[in-house]
Amino acid sequence: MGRGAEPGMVLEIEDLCVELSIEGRWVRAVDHVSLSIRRGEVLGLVGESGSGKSLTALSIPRLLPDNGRIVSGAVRLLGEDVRGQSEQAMNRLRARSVAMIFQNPTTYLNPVLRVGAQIAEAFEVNPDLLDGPASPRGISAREARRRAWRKSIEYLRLVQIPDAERVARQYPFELSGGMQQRVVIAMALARQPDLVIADEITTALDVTVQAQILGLLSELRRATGMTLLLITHDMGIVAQLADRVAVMYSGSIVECADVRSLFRQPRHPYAKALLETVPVIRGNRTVFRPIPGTMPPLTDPPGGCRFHPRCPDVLARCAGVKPDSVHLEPGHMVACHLYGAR
Amino acid sequence: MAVSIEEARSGRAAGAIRSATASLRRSTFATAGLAVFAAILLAGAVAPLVIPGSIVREVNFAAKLGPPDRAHWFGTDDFGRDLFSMVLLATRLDLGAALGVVAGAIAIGTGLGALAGFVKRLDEPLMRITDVFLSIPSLVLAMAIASVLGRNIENLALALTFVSWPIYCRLMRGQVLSEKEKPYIKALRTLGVGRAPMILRHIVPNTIFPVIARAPADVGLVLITMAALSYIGFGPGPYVPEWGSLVAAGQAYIFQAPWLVIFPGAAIFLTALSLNLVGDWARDVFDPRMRS
Amino acid sequence: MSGPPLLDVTCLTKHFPVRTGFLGRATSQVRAVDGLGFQIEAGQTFGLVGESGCGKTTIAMLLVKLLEPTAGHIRFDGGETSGLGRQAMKEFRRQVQIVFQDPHGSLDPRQSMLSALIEPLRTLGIAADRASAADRAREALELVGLGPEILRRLPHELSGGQRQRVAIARSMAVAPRFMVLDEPTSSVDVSIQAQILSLLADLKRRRALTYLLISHNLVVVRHMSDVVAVMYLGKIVERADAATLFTEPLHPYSAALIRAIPVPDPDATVSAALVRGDVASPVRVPSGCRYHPRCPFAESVCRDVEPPLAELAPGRHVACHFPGVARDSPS
Repeated sequence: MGRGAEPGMVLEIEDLCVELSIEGRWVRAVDHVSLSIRRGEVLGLVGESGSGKSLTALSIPRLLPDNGRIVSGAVRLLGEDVRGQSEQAMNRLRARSVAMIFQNPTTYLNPVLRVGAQIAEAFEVNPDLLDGPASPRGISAREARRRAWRKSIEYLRLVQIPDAERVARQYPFELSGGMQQRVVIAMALARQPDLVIADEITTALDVTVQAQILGLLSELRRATGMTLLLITHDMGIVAQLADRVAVMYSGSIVECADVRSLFRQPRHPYAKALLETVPVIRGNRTVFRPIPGTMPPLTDPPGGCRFHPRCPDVLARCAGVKPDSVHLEPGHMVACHLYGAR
Repeated sequence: MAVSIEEARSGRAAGAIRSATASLRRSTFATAGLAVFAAILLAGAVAPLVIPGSIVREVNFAAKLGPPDRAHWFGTDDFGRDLFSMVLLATRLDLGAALGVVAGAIAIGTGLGALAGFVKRLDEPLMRITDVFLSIPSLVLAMAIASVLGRNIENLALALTFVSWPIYCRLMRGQVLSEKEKPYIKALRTLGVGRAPMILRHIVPNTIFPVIARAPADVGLVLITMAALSYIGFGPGPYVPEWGSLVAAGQAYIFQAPWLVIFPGAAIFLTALSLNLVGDWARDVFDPRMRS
Repeated sequence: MSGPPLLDVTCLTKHFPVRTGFLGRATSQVRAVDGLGFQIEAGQTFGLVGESGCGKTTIAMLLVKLLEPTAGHIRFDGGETSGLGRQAMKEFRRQVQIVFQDPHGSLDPRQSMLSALIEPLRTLGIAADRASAADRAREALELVGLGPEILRRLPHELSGGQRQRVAIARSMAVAPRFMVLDEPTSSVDVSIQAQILSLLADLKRRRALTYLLISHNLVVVRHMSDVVAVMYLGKIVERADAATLFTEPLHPYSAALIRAIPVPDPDATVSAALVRGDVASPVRVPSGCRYHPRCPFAESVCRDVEPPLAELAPGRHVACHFPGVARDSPS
C-alpha cells in the first residue's frame, strides 16, 4: 500500500520526537521513540503517567493537543509517513486505517445520538464497507441507512452485547460503563481499521468488568486478527494480551521485547523495578517493592539517562550521556549503559 | 533548614507576583488593556487637580460647537466649553460611579450568594428574592429611583447597584454549591473546621475569583448603562460632566459637530474595552488552579 | 483479642432518597448501605473491598461522620458516636481520621502546606499557638518523609505522591487512633502506590494505629489487611481473615473478584470471567440474594430468599446459599 513498506508492517515509528508547550516553553515529551507493529500483533506500551505513551499514540493519527507538536522523526502507517499528509488525507486515515479507543467511554460517546447511529457513522464515511448487492445506479440513501443499521447491530453482537437490537436504539446514558466501552470498541472495529489503538481503556472500569473487556479483546484478536497498540500502566493486562511490550519512562522507550522475555528477564533497571512494584500474591504473602523518588517533571529533566537519579545500578556515565538503544537479541532492545556498546 | 511562617508566606507572595508578570508578558492584549486602563485611571485622578471644576459653568455661546483645533483638542460643546476638559473631568465621575456600583454589587451579591449556597435553609428565600430583583428591568428601576430621589449620579449608582447584585448572587451561589462537595471541604470537616471559618477561609477565596472575573467587564457594562440613562434624559444635568450626557447632548448636533459624540463615545468604548482585557488577565492571575 | 472492639458497627443503614416528580417527592431510595455490621479490633487493618456502587465509600463517610446513618449504630471505643456535643465531637475527630482517594482534591488549592497542616491543630485544640503548631507540622512532614521546604508550596506545585503524603501528614498530626483509608492509592501511579503503602504500614507500626482500608484493588487489600470483608450492593457478602479469603473464597462474587485480577505473568492461564453483566444499581436492588442476576451458579432459591451473613467457622462469614460453589468450577 505504501512505498518501501516492509510487508506486514502496519506501523513504523522511527525516532519520533514530540514537544509540548508548557507555560510558554517547549519541553521534550517524547524523545527519539522508535517502535513497530506487524499485522495481527499486539504491542503493549507500558509506562506511568507522564511517560509520554499517550502522546506517542496520538501522534499516529496526528491528534496531538493544541499545545503539542511533532518535532522530528517518522510515523509510517502502512508505509506512508503521516507527517507529510494533508489534513484531508489524514481524515481518510482516521476514518479508515486507525481507530482509537480512550479511557472514559462516556466522554467519547455523543450523548444525544443513539448508540446504533454512532456505530453506523462508520458506514456513512466508508460506504464501501457496506455489503449487500449494489445496483448499477448505486443504492439509495435510505437503503444505505438500513444496511448501516443492520451492520451496527452485527458489530454490537460482535462485542458480546446481549439483546443487540434493543441496545442499538438506546442512548449512551442508558448503558453502564462496561457496555459503553464495548460500544466504543464496536465503533472502532466497524471501520475495519488496520490499526487499533487502545489507551487505558479499562482503567475507569470495575475489575470484574475489566476482566470481561479483556476477555472480549482476546476473543476479538482470535476472531478478527486485529492489530493492536495497547497502552496501559497495568502489567497484568499486558501479560494477558500483548505479544510484545515496550516500556516507556519519561519520554523514551527503555526496553522493548516479546512479552515472555520481558517478564522473565527484564534487563533495564526501570523495567525490573516496575515489575517489582506490582503487588503479587505469591503463596501466602504479597510481594512488592517501591521505587524511590518520582518521575522527573518534563520541564526539568535530569541530564543523561532520565532514570539515573532513581536507578539502583547507576554508573558514572549515566548522569552525563543518554544511552543509545542496543539490540541484545533480535527483537529485544534496551537503552541502558549497563548493556551499551563500549 | 527551618522554614518560618513568615518565610512560607512571603514565598507564596513572591510566586504569585512572578506568575502575574509572566502571564502579562505572554499576552500583548492584556498588557495593552492594562496600560490603557491605567492611563484612563491616571487621567481621571489627575484631571480634577489640573482642570478647575468651574469650567463646567463657563458658558460661552460664541465659541460653541467649535471643531477640534490646537486650543481645544476635542473641540467645544454646545455651551462653548472645552470638550477635552469635560471628557477628562467626566472620567472620575463615570469611572468612580461604575466602580462603586460593581463593588457594591459584588459585596452584596457574593455575601448573599455564599450564604445561600452554604446554608441550605437560607437558599430558597434568598433565591426567590434574587428572582424578584432579576425580573426588574434595570433601566426602568433606575428611572423610577431617579424620578423619586432625584436625578444625580449617586442615585443612578444606587439604582444600578440594586439591579446588578443578583447576578453575582446567583453566580456565587452556584460556585459555593459545587465547591461544598469537593473533597478538600470534606477533609476539612473531618479535621474539625467549623462552618464560619469554612466559608470565610476556604470556600470564599476559592469561589470568588471566577465571580469577580466578571467585574471589569461589568464596570464597562455599567458605564454604558449610565450613558444610556443619561442619553434618555435621566442623567445628571448639563452642569455635571458625564460621558453619557455629553453623548446625549451631542447627538442633536451629530451632523454639524460629530466630535461631540465621537470623543465621549470613544472614552466609553476605550474604557470598557480595556476593562474587558484586564478582566481576562486578572482571572488568569487570580485563579491558581489555572496556573499549573 | 482482648477487650471490646475499637469500632463496632451494627445494622448500619444509609438510604438516599431519589427526588423526582413534581414536588420533589422521594420516589425511590438509593440503598447505599443496607443494614450491615462488622467489628474492628484495635491494631487491626480491616480491608473492605467492592466495586462501584457497593457502598464502601458511603461507609467511610458514615464512619467519619460526614454523613449520618439512616439507621443502625456506630460505636467507637465503646461509646456511641451519634448525638455528640461540640467538645465530644472534637475529641472524636482527633481520634478518627480519614485519608481520601484524590490527593489533588483533598487539599485547599489556595492553602500553603504549612497553613494546611496548622489549621486542624488549631481547630481541634491540639496546639496552643502558631509556633507550637508549626513545630508539630514540621514533625508530621518528617514522619511521612517530606522535608520542610514543602511547607511553603501550594498543592499544584507538588506531585501526586507528595500531595498524598501531605494529606497523610495532616491526619497524623492530630495523633489519631483510627484511620479510614479510602482508596489511598487509586489515584497515583504504580510506583508511587508502593511508596504510599509502605509509608502507611510504617506509620501503623510506629503509632499503633488501626486501619479501615477501602479499595477496589484486591492485591493492595490482601497485602495490607488482617481481615477482609467483601461488599456488594450495600451488604457484606463475605468476611474472613485475609489469607483465607484469598486462597479459599466461599462466595461466588469474592471468587469472581479475585479471579478478575490480571496477573503479571504471561504464562498464567486466564480464567473465564466468573460473572455476567454489569454491576447492578443500588436503586433497584434485586430480590433475594442481591448477586443472583450476575451469578453463574444461581438457583431459584437465590432469587426468592436473601441469604443471611452466617458464621460458618470462627471468623468466617458468608452470605450465600451455596458457599464454596465457585471453588469447583473450572478456571
